[in-house]
Amino acid sequence: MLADVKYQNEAVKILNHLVQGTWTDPLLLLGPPGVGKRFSVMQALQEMLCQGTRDDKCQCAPCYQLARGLHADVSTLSVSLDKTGINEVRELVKEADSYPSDAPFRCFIIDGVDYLNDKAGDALLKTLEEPPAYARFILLAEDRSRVLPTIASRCGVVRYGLVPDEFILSVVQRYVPDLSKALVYTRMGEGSIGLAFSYGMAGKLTLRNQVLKTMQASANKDFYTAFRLIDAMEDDITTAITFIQQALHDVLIVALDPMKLVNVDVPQTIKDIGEKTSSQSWQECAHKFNRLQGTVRKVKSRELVVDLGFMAKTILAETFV
Amino acid sequence: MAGSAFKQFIVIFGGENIFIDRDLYKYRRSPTRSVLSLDGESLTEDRFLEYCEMTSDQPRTIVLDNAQALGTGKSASKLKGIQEFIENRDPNDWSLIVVVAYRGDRLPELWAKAATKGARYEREKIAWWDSDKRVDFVIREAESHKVRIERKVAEKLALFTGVDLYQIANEVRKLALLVGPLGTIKEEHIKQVTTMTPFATQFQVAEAVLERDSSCFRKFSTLCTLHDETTACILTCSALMNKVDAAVQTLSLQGQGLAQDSIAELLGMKPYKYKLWANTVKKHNLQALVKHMGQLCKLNSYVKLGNSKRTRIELFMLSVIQSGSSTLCTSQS
Repeated sequence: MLADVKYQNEAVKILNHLVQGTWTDPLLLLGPPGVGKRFSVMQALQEMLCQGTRDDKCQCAPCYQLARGLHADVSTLSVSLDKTGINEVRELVKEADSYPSDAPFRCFIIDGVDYLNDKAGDALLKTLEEPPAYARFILLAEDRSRVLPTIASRCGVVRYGLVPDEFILSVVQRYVPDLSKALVYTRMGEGSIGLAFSYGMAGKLTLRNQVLKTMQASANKDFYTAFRLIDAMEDDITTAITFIQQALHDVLIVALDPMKLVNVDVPQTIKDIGEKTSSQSWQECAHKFNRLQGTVRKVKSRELVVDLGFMAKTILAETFV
Repeated sequence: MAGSAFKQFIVIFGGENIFIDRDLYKYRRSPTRSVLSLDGESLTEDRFLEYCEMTSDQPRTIVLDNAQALGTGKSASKLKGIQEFIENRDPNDWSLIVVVAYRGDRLPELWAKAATKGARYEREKIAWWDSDKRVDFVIREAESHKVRIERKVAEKLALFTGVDLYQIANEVRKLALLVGPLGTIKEEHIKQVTTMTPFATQFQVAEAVLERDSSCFRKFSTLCTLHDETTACILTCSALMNKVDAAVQTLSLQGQGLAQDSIAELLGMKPYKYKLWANTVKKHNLQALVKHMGQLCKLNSYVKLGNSKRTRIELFMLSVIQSGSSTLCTSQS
């Protein structure tokens, strides 16, 4: 139920209007990944459709179907870099014209609306502007700048904030008992419970260690080792670049406040890396990686993704050569 | 095509085998004469003369292929016997036609003399750079298969299939089957069935760039014709990124003072290959290469979206070739 959604008070308020039927227009939920957008939508839907005890253990038919993604009147479309197709959107628009079978309305959730390409976005516009009375549209996006302006203007925008570290730590610790590791995962999540949890579950500390080795090798001008390590991280290069940014953040603040490090478990390594070159060089490097991350965020299609590994190599080489 | 059948000697020579083979094929299938096919590679002068002096109640044709090999090797002679045979032949004797195929550019005196008593046909080899003649050949081939092909399309086909006329002829034959009688061969047909033979791959382009070899432009151009421009640019950009990346790694290892064999092993190269590669890398320094990496990053995103991407790639190639050096290497190979 919506009461289970933590630290997103504003979003909960608006979703409550949806539950009570005082808001029927399309909603655009905006926020970083893993802060509870989809979770809160599912909670709101459960609250609207539940015919049983109205708690999280309820096993009534709608709650059972919702939990397993089987509800006939709830359709979810996940859009990503690999799937930005127009066909799925057309299907969804067609479906929106049919009446609900069981519930009082049909709900359409489009997760990753910021990845919709222009054509797919245009196909959705008319329906968003004048949705059928029995249809509810909930659109989820991570980055406002990627959402087509015409789509955003037809929706009520709900912003999701970052989740405090204390709460994330309490969740991560349920699965990662080692406190220092759990703390690293929490800080790696940067306010996203979903990311922290997924890093913890996937054991991303190995990748983090590779990133630190890469930085050490680059600082020693050993580009052979650095480049080979980056090649080895090719499959997870986006996360690796995030970790490089976090390590750069650590290098810059380690002398000022070691307690604020993301990689709090390896302060000495961070210190050693930091001493290899001047603080100014590190700042420039961090600045370039920030720009790279910004470029990556703007990309909406897999075909346009640039070779991130090569770019990371270039930035490191330019900093230390 | 070779001329009238009523000649005592028909001499065909030159370097373009497909035309010579076609001529020989025609004479071997003469319906009115008894034909004997001989190969100069496995024939002596005496044996050849024996065949020539045989008698028959039917008019005969002797087809001698590889005349350039006759009388060489162990049984080498000055072919005086053949010379006499040519000189002494009765001009009114039409019972025997000798067809000689000499696969070489310059016809020796012996066979030139024979040609004076008959006909002489030169089948000159089409030079690799003479694309016009190859295009003409494509058009003639298409006509012989009773299909049409526009010159522009023929140019593309000639470019895709390289310089081997046999291959071109086979491709035209395939295309003729595809479009059917009186059909027109179009560009999409070529894309469907033609076995493309590019002059260079993107890796060769990248290697030439790092070699500071100006032939990289020509190689890149063939790549652009083979693929569409965007694909060629993306492929070339990736190949350049790989090569520059490897060059930086190599210089970094060399800077650590490692032995050549160890570096070769670390880079996964055979020692002799590494030697060649080291010579290429020697032409650059680390700072310049890192600068090129920066340029490549921009190019990498540009080739996917921007205009005149081909020019951008060429400008980059030029900047690599010219960086730190005022001289260009040239290669005509």
